[in-house]
Amino acid sequence: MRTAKKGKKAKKGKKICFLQGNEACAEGAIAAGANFFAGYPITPATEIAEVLSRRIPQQKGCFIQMEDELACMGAVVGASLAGARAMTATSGPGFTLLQENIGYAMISEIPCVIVAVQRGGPSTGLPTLSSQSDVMQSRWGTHGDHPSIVYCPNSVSESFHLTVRCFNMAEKYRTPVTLLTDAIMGHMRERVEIPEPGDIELYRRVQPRPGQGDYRPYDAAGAPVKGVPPMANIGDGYRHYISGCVHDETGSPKMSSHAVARRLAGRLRDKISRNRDDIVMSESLHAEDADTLLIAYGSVARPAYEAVLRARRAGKHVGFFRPISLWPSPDKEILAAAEKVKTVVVVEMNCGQYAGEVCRIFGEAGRAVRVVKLNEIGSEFIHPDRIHSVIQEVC
Amino acid sequence: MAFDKSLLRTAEFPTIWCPGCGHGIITQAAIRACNDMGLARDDVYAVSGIGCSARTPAYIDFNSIQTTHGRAIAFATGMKMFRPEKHVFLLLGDGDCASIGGNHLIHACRRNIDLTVLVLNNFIYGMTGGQVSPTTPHNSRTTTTMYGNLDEPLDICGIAMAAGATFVARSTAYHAQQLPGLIEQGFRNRGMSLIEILSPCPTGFGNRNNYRTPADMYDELRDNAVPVEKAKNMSEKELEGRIVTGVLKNAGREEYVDRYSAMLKNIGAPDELSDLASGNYPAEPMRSERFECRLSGSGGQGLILAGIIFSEAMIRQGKNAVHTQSYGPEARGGASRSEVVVSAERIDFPEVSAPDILLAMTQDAFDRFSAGVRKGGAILIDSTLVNPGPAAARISSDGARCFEYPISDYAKNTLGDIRTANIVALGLLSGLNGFISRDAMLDSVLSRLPARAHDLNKTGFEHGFNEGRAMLAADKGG
Amino acid sequence: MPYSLSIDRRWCKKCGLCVRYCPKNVYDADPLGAPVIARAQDCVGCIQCEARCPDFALTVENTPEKHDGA
Repeated sequence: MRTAKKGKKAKKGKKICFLQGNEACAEGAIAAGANFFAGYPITPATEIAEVLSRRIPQQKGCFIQMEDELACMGAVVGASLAGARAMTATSGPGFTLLQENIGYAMISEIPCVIVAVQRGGPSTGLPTLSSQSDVMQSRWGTHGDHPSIVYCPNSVSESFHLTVRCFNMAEKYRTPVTLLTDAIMGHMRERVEIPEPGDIELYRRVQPRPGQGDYRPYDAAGAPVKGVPPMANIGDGYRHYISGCVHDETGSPKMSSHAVARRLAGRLRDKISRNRDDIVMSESLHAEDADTLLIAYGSVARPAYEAVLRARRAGKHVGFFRPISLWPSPDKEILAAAEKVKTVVVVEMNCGQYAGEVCRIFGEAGRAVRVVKLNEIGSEFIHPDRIHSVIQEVC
Repeated sequence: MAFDKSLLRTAEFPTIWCPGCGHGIITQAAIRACNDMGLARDDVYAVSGIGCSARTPAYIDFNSIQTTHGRAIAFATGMKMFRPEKHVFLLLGDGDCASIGGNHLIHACRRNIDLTVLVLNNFIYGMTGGQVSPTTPHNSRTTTTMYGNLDEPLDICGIAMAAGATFVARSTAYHAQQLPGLIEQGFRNRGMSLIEILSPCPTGFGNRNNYRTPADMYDELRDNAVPVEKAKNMSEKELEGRIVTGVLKNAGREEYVDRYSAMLKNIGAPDELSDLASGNYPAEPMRSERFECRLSGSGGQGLILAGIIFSEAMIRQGKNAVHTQSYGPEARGGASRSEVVVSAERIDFPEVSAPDILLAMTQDAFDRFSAGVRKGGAILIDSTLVNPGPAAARISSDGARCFEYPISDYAKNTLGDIRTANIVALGLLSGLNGFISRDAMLDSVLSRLPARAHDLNKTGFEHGFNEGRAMLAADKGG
Repeated sequence: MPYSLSIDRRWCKKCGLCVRYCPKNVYDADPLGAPVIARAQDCVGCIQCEARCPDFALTVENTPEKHDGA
């Protein structure tokens, strides 16, 4: 379990800190080399903008509060096109506004990081209370067919490290990547080990070879990362037409060609699905003898795991599975953890958004399991007692 | 007379525009302006939105970026901030810029960020077939104003000037030879420049509004245009239906990216995160694997800070700690709850279920939370503000102990500053629990307070600690 | 002739602006509205036609033997 363990003497260069989840996310961005942030105030994400308004200028980066979230995402994408490692942070209603330009970043393959700190919804909803109700928005929020990469932290430490991973994945796969956290995770404070900056591995976007005369911005043939075209920053000597239209390998819009559309949509889909082993992250515990599997993610994984341990101490054969990448979903890993399982309990603070994905995974694999949904729709943090009593019922 | 035709991406020609559309004229003028200024192609970002105007960057060999509808200015802001050495010019439509994009237009003008915005105003949504736009003339017929446009057209230049753009001009596609000069002036202005250029749409607008040929629309632009120098001497009535052309505003002020750069120069060294690596803080072992502490009272009593300090002390002692909080929407006076879970091992559920110790600094907090304390747990009451009343009996029958101290009274009247109450409370809590190291807690207190507050708070903490120890000893003995 | 005029027929959309606005009436329109260079010798090189052509189809150039710096 990735919660902070008992402190030993910190290694040279590492620091032991006590940070809020949102602070850890901001520090993760700094550690990842973020040099552009555009944000707009929204509870419960505002702390990220506040910390970065101080920290990013200290690193000589760009910080700007834009006039709305539509503009935030536009500025982030514009800066990334120009070479920035760019990020924004928001919550539910703002996340909805970001979607328009997230779609642009998807089809134009522009690396960027979005932090979405979930709160009760829909609409204004419950600004200060948590939920996990943007799981599907993080997958399909922007219109059209597209893959998504979404990571979900369950600790302040993961809020730091997964933010770094978001940047690395965004740069490696030329795509927007979302850190889907929530109000509980964002506002809770925990012990976290911050590595020495030199110990953090950073991935930078692959660029064309200098003077590469035949460079085409959307041509992935022979690319070092399968399916990912090298990306020239605008203004660095390669002049192309970049747009949100369906385009061919030169970037030229081809809005009447089914063949071009299929080729592009296929490559965007495959870019993620064929690299899924590199992208997907999950954690599977006590699955070897499990006849029941509990699936939980994000902050809810904390009480869920406590309930699993309590059930195991009482002799129940319950396993625990935690998706860390929600999307692409860790389908192979769930199936592996559930090899002998008859019942799967999906615990989440929404109406069952991820349970639907779990059902799909088992259904497509032809596996008959009973999927039980343990949902909280009133934004009350699910207590281990409640989860434990459901485990007792189904086990 | 000739401009560098190699600047054109002729592989994309013929252009998509209808016969007589003014956009091609404006595109040519923009290219001439860039050519005249000798701008290197790699140094120019040509940015557009969506619509007929949005196609312009496709035809020019610059860094051409078509964005989303209404958002080009936002994208361009990111580009300019990150690469301030680049020249960013935008080619936007009237709907794109002033309808869906209106908010971004306003704020870019307010920032005076160095962008050159050409508004190709054909007073229609052309690409989608001819719907009404914010600049369509009153009474015009469009596909969505079949009974005539009810609205008056928006004055885009007026908005730009009011919002703070420093160079604002207007012209028309008829005045093709004046355009490069105006565009160059816009480019050279260090700040937000907006040039509105009226551009006939013979198909979307002209056909529905009785213009037989494209040239008829250009005739009207020619006949209605009046230079600003002449317009100054004309009455409002005389100016009705006229198009005032020329430079409407040219007043420099500090540009946004320049301000940002100046700000960066004055910023000190980057913040360093404090290291709480465990020090030498001997204390008794914890009596159970998990210790839960709930600090409750009202907003403004410093309980969030107290919870953070408590947690940091535990971490200095080599333990694990999680802090959560909740409060009412009011910043001051509403209920406040600050909670800490401590363990020598991992902490899964991060919230307090049944606290081992409850601090109640208001009557409301006591009434709400005293029943939830674990059997064998403790409640510390600020007796200045809290009277346990009949609950005291119930608490002790539940197996919890009640400790009282006039925390607020001591802070206010002995220390002379009510804001030290939370630190006094921390002293008491530390004294009441053997596993808490006094030095670890004191180090945490001092690290979280400004130097000028150290002496007073140290006194308050140590007094509280000693009182807490005394209460603990009496409780054990009794 | 001091100026040589050319029309790129691939790009010209026959909008008629060059015909309407040439101050020297250099152009005629054919039955489909396409410009015809009828009186090139009258061209004074004002390049209103080139500047006002929405299709980049018109080019007005100084002829080499009579270049006068205009």
